[in-house]
Amino acid sequence: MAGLMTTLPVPGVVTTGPDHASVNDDAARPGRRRWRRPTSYLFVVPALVMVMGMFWYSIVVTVWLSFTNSNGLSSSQFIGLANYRALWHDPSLSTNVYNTVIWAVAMIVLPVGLGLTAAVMLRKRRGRTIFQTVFYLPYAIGFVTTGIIWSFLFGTSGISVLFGALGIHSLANVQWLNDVPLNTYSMIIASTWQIVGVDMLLFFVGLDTIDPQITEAASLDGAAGWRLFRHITLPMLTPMTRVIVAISIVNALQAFNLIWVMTQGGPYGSSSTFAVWTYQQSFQYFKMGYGAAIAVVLTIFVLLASIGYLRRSLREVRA
Amino acid sequence: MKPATIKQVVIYGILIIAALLWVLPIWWSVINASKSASDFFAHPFYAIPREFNLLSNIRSAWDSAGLGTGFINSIIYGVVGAAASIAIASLAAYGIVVLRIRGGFTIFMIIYSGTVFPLQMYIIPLFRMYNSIHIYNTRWGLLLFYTAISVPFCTLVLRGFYSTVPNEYRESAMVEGASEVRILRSIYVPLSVSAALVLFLFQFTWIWNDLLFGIVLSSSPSVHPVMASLSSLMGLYGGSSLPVELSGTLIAASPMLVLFFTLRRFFTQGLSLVVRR
Repeated sequence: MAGLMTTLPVPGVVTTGPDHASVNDDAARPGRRRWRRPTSYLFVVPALVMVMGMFWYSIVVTVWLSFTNSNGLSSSQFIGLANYRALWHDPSLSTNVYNTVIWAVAMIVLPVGLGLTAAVMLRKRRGRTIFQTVFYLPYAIGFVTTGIIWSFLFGTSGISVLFGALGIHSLANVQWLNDVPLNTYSMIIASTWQIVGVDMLLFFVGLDTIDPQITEAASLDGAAGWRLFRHITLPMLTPMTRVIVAISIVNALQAFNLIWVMTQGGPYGSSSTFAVWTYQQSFQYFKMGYGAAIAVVLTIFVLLASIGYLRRSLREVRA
Repeated sequence: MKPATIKQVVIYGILIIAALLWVLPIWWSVINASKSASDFFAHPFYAIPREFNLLSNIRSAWDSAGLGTGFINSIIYGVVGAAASIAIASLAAYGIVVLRIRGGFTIFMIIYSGTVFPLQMYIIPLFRMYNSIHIYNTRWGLLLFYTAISVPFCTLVLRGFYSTVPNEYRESAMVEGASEVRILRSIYVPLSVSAALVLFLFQFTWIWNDLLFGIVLSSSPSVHPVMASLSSLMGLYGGSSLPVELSGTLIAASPMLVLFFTLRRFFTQGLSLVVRR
């Protein structure tokens, strides 16, 4: 989960302040004067200049470059849809689509599922603090660090040696980061190991917002265990689950750091995803026009995946 | 045993096995970071180190591939970048929500939507822009990027906080002749200090963990952020000296671990403050 809430602004999860006051910047509130001296605009200028000058500019330029044959810093020509046509016929396309989809699905199912399980198991249980710390620890050490640790464990002097010593020879000869499609699954394991803790913490927050009277009433009616979880807790958690799933998809679609450290998308592009592919085409082969086209396609995926969520967030921010 | 007791035993059993799976990779990293190269090659990775070599490994890692420089760079990027973005976002939030400038909501949407897009949309144009205005491979360039990328989220959170401050505070300060900047500094900033600290923590963490923009916007070890140095340390040895690489990961992880253990309670509180639904 790249940076949790930094890469993806998550308006939906951000309250409008300690007391949920409504924020509608343009609406005049009764009894208040509106201060609109021209100097007031100076307050928003730095933020506006930074975001428009760097990010909006970049979006426009990336889209433009995707229609050119740009190769680095020299001049380039407009070539229309040629990059997109080449992308469609690129033999690497199917591998990248497959891996990107696998990453997105796995990152929803594994860390979110395990995080929820851990949160439900640990809440109100003795020793919660220590288990919570243990599960959160990998998130605290970061993606690159996680990648290096697991590269070591999946390497030739890593867990294969342990499996050999335990006499499990079928696992001792596995090349975790070289065999296809195992290399992608190995990295998903590493990534899950890292992210579960933060999803668990978010589910703790979600569980804490459930009114205890509701669960009490349900248990008086005889609901317990799985039934209580399935029919009361899980539905009450839906808003939080939705947020976590949305963040997970968006982050998984643009996962780069861990893959770059562990395999660089290799061997022979077999574990590449769209995010890695864009970087590789643009900065290793300097086919920036082509790299830009891949980035645009990735953006379309990301926006499609998050559109429902973004609309909901927008409504909340506006409310 | 009663069924309830059996259930407890099973649940704790599962939790302990899971906890072992989560702790073992870290444990193995620490013990192998402590081994000498010959010890590492002579014995399996799970063996306890014959001699304690951690400090000399850490020293080699710190000196190789500019990891020490990267560490210091990232401290600067993280601290200055996070603080600057919070300052810029405070101004913007104040303008939008307190001064209520015309078109404030649109301006807010423009600021905030800059990061809805995947980061891959920014790498190529920023690389080219940085080259053409000669800030590629400079500390200022990276600082500018890290500040800018943090602004939208900070604006989002601070805007929410400022909107809850009663306008009467500001009005009475105005009666006493305080300027807008002074009102922001002495009323709004102190009231939002908890939110600002949470933001600082989040943004510092993000900047500290960034690899992508470190390798896109800089190329030399003297400018690289820590994660870029760490990944080139890996390429440098090509697996030939894992103990040194692993002690490099300890160096890179240490500030995050310190922050986490000192501010843990604060972090979980912060999470529930910022992430509430």
